[in-house]
Amino acid sequence: MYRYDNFDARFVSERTNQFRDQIARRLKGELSEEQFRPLRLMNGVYLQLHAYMLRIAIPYGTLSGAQMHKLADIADRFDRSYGHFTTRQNIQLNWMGLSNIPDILEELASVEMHAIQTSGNCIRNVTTDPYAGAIAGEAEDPRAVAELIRQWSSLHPEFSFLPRKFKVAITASEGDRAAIKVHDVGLQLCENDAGEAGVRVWVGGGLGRTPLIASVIRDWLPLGDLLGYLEALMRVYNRHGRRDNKYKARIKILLQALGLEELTRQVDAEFAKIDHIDPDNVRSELDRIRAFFAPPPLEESADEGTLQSDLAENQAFARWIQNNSVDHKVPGHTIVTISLKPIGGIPGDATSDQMHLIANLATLYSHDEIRTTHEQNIVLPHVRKADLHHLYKALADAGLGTANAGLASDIIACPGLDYCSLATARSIPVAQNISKRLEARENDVGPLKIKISGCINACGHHHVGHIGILGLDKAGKEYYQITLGGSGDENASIGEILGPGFSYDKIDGAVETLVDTYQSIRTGDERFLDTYRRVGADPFKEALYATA
Amino acid sequence: MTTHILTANHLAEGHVVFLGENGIWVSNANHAVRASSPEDKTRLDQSGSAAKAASLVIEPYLVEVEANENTNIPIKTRERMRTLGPTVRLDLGYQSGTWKPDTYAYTGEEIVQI
Ligand code: SF4
Repeated sequence: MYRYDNFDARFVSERTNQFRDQIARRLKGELSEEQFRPLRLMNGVYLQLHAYMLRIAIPYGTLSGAQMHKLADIADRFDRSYGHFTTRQNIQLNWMGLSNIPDILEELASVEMHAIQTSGNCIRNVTTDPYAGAIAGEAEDPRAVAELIRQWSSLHPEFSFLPRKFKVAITASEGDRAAIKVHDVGLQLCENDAGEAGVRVWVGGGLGRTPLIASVIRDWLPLGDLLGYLEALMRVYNRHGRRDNKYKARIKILLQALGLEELTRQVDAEFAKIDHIDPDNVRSELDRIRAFFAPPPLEESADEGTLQSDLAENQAFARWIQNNSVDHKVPGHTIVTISLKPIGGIPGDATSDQMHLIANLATLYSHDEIRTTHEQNIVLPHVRKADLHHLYKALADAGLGTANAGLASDIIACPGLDYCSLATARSIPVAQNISKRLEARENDVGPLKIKISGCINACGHHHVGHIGILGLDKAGKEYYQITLGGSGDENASIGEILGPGFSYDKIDGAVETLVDTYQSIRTGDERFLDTYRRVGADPFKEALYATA
Repeated sequence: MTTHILTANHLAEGHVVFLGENGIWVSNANHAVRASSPEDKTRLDQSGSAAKAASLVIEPYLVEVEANENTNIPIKTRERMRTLGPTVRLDLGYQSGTWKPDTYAYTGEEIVQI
């Protein structure tokens, strides 16, 4: 794992002290709310429906056991003993008092964490593949490049007041588990024809009011040029991105306005002028960072212990292995997904006891490594096959053994109207109702991604759900619009609106009808998305609206 | 005629508050003072601005309620949830009985702890 150097430690500590002082001045009335608001947002403090919310950054979704223990301690001491893992691989605490926040930030700093750049119009936490460094076929561990970008973007004087927030995602696999094509910038680490390490750059993807799939702006760039190129791209965006209308301020709108060719021309011209970032320095800094992400000492082994007999004897364990584990690149090991989607539970929530347990299990069984996923689950990336049954039993005893990763009840849902001050409708209880309805047959249904947002901001990624649900307010009543055919993977697509929406009472039944329809028309081992792409929306519309 | 109460969040602690009798901010919406006439609503609004300027609360605004004998029930789901807590965690928020002490008032000159 990356360890702070003196610069990082000093910067985080100075920022904590600065914010402690700003909070004290606010509480004494020396700063007005208007003056204070941007300062608190720069430190991840929002005002939500019931209280302040603190969003803590989990850079590229990687945590050690000690960091997870610290998050659990903070949830216990200062909040209501639980945390909510978000679609940006961060964690939110929902019941914060302002006066406690400086102490919390100090606690976080003691384990090299903070809440900086989790809000505001800056470059946000860089997200990546939760299987990074563990899955076969990667160009390299993308977290080293993500850390390089974190260092470059943190405190960057030019990019602290962008036209709008800016999100970067990075993957090193052909299979995209980081949804890079729906980010402002998506990076795919890959080799060129000569076998040199580099990166493909996508630009202008995003969800929200104007959902768009990103375009390739550079097919391949040597890694030494990455920061210079990003700096050029950010400069063009900073200069021309609209500041007069926040709904038109993201880079995707600039891309639409200029066209890809012109944007590429401007970025290339700016890149040619950049002479203050030396590619050799970038390369050597990347080498320094890579050392922190050296793979753990895993021994190739054919020894699976009692795995086969345990699988034969324990059906629930076998189902969990089938759905929640993926082969590791080192034989004898597995990547495990811990579902934070218990049937009828709140997607992404974990109690502090569960967080402590995950931390202990990571230390015992996963070389002290934990990943958070944009699908609001947890991953233990390096588990020996021989340890899987012990791990499963410990998780299942704590309500963390749900065998539903990638299935119908593994639903992404934003906090929605239950917590979020921007929401137009609830998301969480809709997810709970759907998961209860579909649980019994979800193994027959197979891979299905249902994603729910409580407003058009789309934090629940509904546009890229195979079934997407957007909660709206219609004359004071919650009302849900369905989109079909979205996908956030390497074949990304934006879902199409199906037709008139449904009331809160009807939406879970409507989703069940869609699943019935799929099961009645699928051929072979088609996934829901494959069937939709083959037949289009008509059979689904007919089933939903014919009798309406 | 519609009835309104005044709500905000407590600056230091963040929790939801309502303006009660004698300028005291309370956590139970049923104890909030009501305004029905335009003059009363303007007065409530002004009290909110004054408490905001005095750094006692943030984001004060009027909420329309159904005024019953002993209860003020907000018309909008969002506001109902602020008086209670999340619908998905009935053990959290004011619905769980964890009322905050009604300890602060802004007298027009200073914040007093009662
Ligand atoms: S999508 Fe809307 S309701 Fe959901 S968390 Fe984002 S802003 Fe809040």
